[in-house]
This record gives sequence, structure tokens and C-alpha cells, in this order.
Amino acid sequence: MTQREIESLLQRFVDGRLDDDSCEEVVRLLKNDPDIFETYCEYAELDAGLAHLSSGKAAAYRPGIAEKCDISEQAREHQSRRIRNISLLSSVAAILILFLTLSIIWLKPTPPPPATFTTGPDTIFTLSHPDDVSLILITRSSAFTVRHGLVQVSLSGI
Amino acid sequence: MADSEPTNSIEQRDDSLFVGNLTSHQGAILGYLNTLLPGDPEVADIAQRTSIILWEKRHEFKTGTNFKAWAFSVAYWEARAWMTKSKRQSWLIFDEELTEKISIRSLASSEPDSSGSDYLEVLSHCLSQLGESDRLVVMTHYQHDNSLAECSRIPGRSRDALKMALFRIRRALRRCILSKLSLQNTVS
Repeated sequence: MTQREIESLLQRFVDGRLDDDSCEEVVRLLKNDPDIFETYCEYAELDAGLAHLSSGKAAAYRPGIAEKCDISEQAREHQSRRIRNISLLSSVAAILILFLTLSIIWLKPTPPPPATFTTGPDTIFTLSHPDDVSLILITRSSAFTVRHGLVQVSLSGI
Repeated sequence: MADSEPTNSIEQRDDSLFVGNLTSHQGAILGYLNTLLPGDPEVADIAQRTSIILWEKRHEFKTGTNFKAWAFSVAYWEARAWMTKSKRQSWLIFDEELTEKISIRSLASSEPDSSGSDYLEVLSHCLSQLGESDRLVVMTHYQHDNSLAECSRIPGRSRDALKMALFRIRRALRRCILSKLSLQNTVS
């Protein structure tokens, strides 16, 4: 096997792209050939280094930025998660407030009846309307006739 | 006792030193785990868990002893725990003989207290010497969990061409690193 073939095999091994038979072959080579073992370790380290640098954690390895370890990254992640949650709740609250405000502006409140009444025991009365006979409300055109008893009428706008 | 430093202050200083140690050794820990578990997508998570365990056990570390050896032993057991938990039987190679060989080699690959940060600096330098398109290929590959499919989105590169390019680039990077490290050792 040429050096190039060995390196190709080792790179695929590091990538996890070998079938079981080829893996066994690599294992045999690693056990028996110190140079191949060394080359394998170098490729595995290179792979880890590239993965690390491309993940954006490289800053932690620059001199003077030692504080940027994963522990503090986790703390920052936790904090940003918290901020995200708070933002989400704030958004929901803002939407609810907006909805309520729009409801107040756009939805017409039900006007209170112009007059309400309560009757005493055994009171006999008739309430008639020119337009709608089934209405049990006193409106501007209602005729309210008390034959007997006691009625208390509260007027609003009449 | 007027001259004695407050306990909190000592703890803060020790924690700060520990964080420095932990931070600067993360590359070495990741490299070691990657050598033990080639091609395993869990390596980064195991390295992360190792860091957390090291932090939790920081009071057990004796200042002045070999941090790297201690960190590697924790990483080793964390890797084994993962293998047991995931019931993965292909601890490849990794019968006792080879595992020990890898551990010894990883610890001895540089000075006992060396963290591996030099290695990453050299790697960064070697990466900067690549052409723009090669750098794009290798960084895209690693940013997307070794996915050649993602790299295939790079215009003008077929899947096979990318495989060949990656092989060539990593080969060149390995040579560059060996050459730079060898030069550094000669100078020092």
C-alpha cells in the first residue's frame, strides 16, 4: 500500500466512512505499524482541530482571551435563552394588550337599556311597544301601564 | 491573621486559574477524544461533558500536578461511559492495548503541561495559507458536521471532486503543521 493510499484510508477512518472490514484492516495496521499509528493520530488531531476552528470556538485559543471558555459560553447561552423566553412572553403580552385596545376601539359596547324597572309582589302591569311586542325593555316608544302594585323605574336617557 | 488573604478571594483566583487551564486544554481534549472515537458524531458532546465534569471536580485537582493527564483520564472515562450507554461495541480498535497506546501518545505528543493551543495556532496559520476556495471547502465541510452534501452546494464542485479536494487539503494541512511544529521545536 502506498503512502497516499494509507493516508486516504486513515482519513476515511477518521471521518467514519469505512465499512467493518476496512476498519479491521486499519486496526491491524495501527497495531503493527508505528508510523501508520502516528499518522492516524495526526489526522485525528487535525480533524478535531478543524472541527474546533470551524465551530467558532477558536477565539478561546487566542492569547488573552482565556476567559472565553465553554463554561462561560454555557452561562451566556443560558442567559440568552432566558432573554429569549422573556422576549417571547413580552411579545405575547404586547399582542394581548393590542388586541384588547383594538377591541375597545372597534367593538361597540352594548348600550345600557334606556330604562329598567323592578316590580313589587302581585303587581299587574302591561308593557307594549309599537315595533316589537316581544321586547321586555322600556324604550322611548314603550307604553308601560301599571294596573295594580308597585313599580320602581330607573330612567337612563329618557 | 490580618495578612491572610480572604478565602473567597483565594477561591476566585483558583477558579480563574482553573478556567484558564480548562480553556486552553479543550483543543487537546477534543483531539484525544477524536483519536479514541474516530468518526463518532458524539465526540464534541463528550468533550463538552468532560469540561463540565472537570469544572465540577475542580477542587480535586492539585495545583502543580499535570492538568492534561488529569483531564485526559476524565475524558477517557467519559468516552467509555458513552460507549457503554450507547451500547456501541465497535470501540474499534480500542482494545486495551490500543487505547493505552493512544493515551500515552496523546499525553506525550507535547510537553506534559502543553495545552495544545500552539497546535491550533499553527493550524490557523496553515489554514490561512490555503487558497480561498480550498479554505471554503474545508470550513464548509466542518461547519456542517462533515457533510459532503452541504459542500456539494459549493458551485463547480461535484461530490467526488470534493472528496478528492478534502483529501488533498487535509494532506497539505498535516504536512504544513508537521513542518511548522518541527521548526518551532528546533528554535526552542
